[in-house]
Amino acid sequence: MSDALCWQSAGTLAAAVRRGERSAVEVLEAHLDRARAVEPRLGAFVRLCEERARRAAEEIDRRVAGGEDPGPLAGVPLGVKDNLCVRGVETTAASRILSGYLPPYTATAVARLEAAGAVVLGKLNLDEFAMGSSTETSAYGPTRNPWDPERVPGGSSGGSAASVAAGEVPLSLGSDTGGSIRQPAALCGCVGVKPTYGLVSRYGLIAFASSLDQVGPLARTCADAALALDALVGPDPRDATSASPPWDPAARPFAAAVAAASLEGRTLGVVPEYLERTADPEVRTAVEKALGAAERAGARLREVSLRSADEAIPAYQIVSTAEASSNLARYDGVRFGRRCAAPKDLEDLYARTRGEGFGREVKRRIVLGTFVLSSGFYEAYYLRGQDARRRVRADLLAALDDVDALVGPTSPVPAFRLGERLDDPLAMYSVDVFSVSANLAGLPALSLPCGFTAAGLPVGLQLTGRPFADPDLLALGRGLEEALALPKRRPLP
Amino acid sequence: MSARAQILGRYELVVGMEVHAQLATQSKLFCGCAVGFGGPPNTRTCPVCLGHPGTLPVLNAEAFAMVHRIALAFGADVRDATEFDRKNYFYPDLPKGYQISQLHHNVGGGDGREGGRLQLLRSGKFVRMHNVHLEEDAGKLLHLGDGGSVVDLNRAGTPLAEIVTYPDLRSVEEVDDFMDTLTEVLLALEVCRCRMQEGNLRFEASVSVRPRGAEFLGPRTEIKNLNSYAAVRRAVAYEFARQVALLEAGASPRQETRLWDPEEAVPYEQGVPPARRADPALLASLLPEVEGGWRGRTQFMRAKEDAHDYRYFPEPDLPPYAVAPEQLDAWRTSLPELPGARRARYAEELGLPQKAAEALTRERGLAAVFEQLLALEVPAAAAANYVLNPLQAALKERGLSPAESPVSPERLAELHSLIEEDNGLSRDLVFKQVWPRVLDEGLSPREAVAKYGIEGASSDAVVAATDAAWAENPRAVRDLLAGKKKAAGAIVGAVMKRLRGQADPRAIHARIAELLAQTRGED
Repeated sequence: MSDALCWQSAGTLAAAVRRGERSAVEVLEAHLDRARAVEPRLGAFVRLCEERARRAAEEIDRRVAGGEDPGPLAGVPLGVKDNLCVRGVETTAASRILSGYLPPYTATAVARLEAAGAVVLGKLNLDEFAMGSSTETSAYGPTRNPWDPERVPGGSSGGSAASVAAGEVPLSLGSDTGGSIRQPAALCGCVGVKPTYGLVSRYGLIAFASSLDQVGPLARTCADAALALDALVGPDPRDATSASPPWDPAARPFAAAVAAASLEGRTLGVVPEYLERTADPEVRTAVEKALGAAERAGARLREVSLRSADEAIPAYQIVSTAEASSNLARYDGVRFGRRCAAPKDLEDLYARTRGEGFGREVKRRIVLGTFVLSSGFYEAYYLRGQDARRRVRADLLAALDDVDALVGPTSPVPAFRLGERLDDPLAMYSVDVFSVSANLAGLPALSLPCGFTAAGLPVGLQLTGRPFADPDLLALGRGLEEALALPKRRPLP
Repeated sequence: MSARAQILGRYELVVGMEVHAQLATQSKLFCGCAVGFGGPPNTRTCPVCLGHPGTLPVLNAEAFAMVHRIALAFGADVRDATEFDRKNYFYPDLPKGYQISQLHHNVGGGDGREGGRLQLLRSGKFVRMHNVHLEEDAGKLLHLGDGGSVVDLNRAGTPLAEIVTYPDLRSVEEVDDFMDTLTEVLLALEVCRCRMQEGNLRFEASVSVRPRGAEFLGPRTEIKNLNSYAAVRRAVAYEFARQVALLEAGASPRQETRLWDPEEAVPYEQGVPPARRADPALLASLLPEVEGGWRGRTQFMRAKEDAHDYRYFPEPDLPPYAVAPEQLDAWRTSLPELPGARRARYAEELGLPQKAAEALTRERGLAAVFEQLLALEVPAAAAANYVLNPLQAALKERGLSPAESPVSPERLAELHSLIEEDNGLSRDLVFKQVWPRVLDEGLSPREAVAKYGIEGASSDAVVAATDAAWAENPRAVRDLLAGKKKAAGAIVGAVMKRLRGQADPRAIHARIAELLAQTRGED
């Protein structure tokens, strides 16, 4: 009974809480029980905030009892990636350098979901500072894939994807700089959305690469992701890069789009370059099957070429590391977070605080980013990276001219084994090959489950849309879910 | 000619200035914290200006407008969209590990654009501006006696306009002229409080030297730590002497950054190889002569090769800020009259003597009092006279600025009425007896007259005294009748003496005219 609550959708739970049929506390406790049961095998959460969550759930129950409507996410348990600040709750970005850091404020994205009634259950594991594709670079140790605990959940939002897939929460927040929401969603078999750049405020998201970072939801269905997006999107005066979409965010456009979803008469652009680069034949087969199902549901497929496909990863590496090297300069042991013991002088304070506080992958990217911005190399690397970024964006926008969305695999491979790629950075970076373009171009993209490999590992399908076509992208996703009608499977019984 | 003048005369001083002006906004450049001076450390801070993880900058529109007004005042080519860059370096007073500044995207000038120019108030010379841009200030690092250091981030994030000139200044006097002129302009624009002692305004000088008549520029040294106008003047004079001493010895200055040390008396340098040190005796002989001996020196800080690599790149947290043409026009047309233009107007339109026009626009705040007198319908010549003579003298005596004047323009205007009215009060009488009481007792001129019963001689007394003097000075009367108008002076003097200076000269002259007419009529 209590376990069954954990597999209900966010929409169903919120409706029950709003009608007073279930209490928010009851919903919370069911999910806490599930988390306690699976966490030893999963490691999705870096900390649960049970007391804070109980107070929030009790408050929602009081409001329902008092005849108030706590909002469309009333009582929905929410997991928050640990690079999003929650006031007074330790937030570390899975880095030693931020151990013990208590943010004095709450990220806008979290605040908006809480204002809609969501209850923050805890903070979720990630690759350190969101730098990675496997959640193995976390200072807390890796999160495991719920479908095979010997495999990675993907990353960097590995905790966000694994917790949703394992039924610990129906909804989580992640961040996506080069695929960090979509790739773990694909590897864990859930839905992950990276909205158009600027659509969701970055205020309170611990920056990795500011011009690429975007906050987005992970859920088990497109309808639940849409529910969260209606609460998340819209301009924020605290984020100068947040954008006003050409539609009214207050009119709940995502719920409306999902409710009216159909593939009839829609055109999907199939990118041959992506299928050719899909290393795993089972992934390719699953995607091609899904395309067949989409056609049968009335969608038209059109081949569209992306000549810039091979430029995306290098451009991403240059731009993201350059920005990261600057964004991570503030962790110097002076004002917050960890400081090395007994520094001899200023140089020593910097060198040891940062030397002890950052992990290998983070250091690698800081060094790379510092290099590409250095005098004498700036033109050869940073400026060329920016040029390549412009070409990728132009190429994608042109490809989207005649189609409603681009479609292809989210990741070239399903979940890989723990440790398999950790010592081979290029092999690790290559799993982002299909996802980084959307970040470089600022476009909306989502990943949804489209099948399983013979070994029972989920395969994700990616849809990429035009700027601010986010609601329509969710509608296409919902249409594909219906066309695919995948059998319901649950990991970690 | 002295040996010093002879040697220095063979060289030309070339100076460019870099100025950081704290903008007089309510709040910081990228957050809502108050801008201020002093106060308990780290009290005017928030997560944004402390650089907390996840925080983002939000541009202060007031600062954005102010920096545009500065650029427009110089006549710079202002961009229709402005962008920011990050300047990366580590220092404990820099919370984010980078400063949000502008390298490629100056508000005005820079990058091959016209930077405009500034006409110096005293010399009338034009100084070309290179660029004006907007950036955030750092906090302050304080070193404790025990070897430890503490940081105060109250100042971190304060908006700064950075103003950079071309190397157009050729003497210490011109540097001084530039500093005064720029201060006047920034005050007139109401964009900076210009209190150097509070760090509102900070100058850095780039100094080089070349043989007189040469066209090339020598290697320049940048001098930092100049925290008063006097420090800038002295440091530039010192640096001129130091570089000349090097050249005279066959060495050459190098491009480097130097620190001004105002206390050291001995020209000496640590950490510099002897071959690149100026000969102390020669250098001392080239320094300006100062009572009590020269103090202060520039000290080597770092060579060009050791300069930071700031790894500038476009600030991804701030979008380009477009400025609509209508907005630019509105800023341009609302610019106040700047001191140079004001001086020209005083001379040409108001007909003031050039000297008075200069004097009124040279000292900060005098023109404002003058303008208020004009608004109170005091004629320009009289108004200039009141401001430049009695008022300025009184202020100087009390060490006050015009803004702190104990006498309001309204009272000065009342003083003017008192003099002009036909009340028997002469100008001299008013200034001798009324003015001191207005100044010292805070009385209005009419209150002073009433309180002390100050009165001029009655018209009857003036007539009687003039008639008496007329009778006692037959030679003066003869001269007057012969058309020598100056002869009236003897009669006026005699009347004044008799009436102890309390008569209004105009009344005496009027009576003399009557007497003259009567005498002629009788002939």
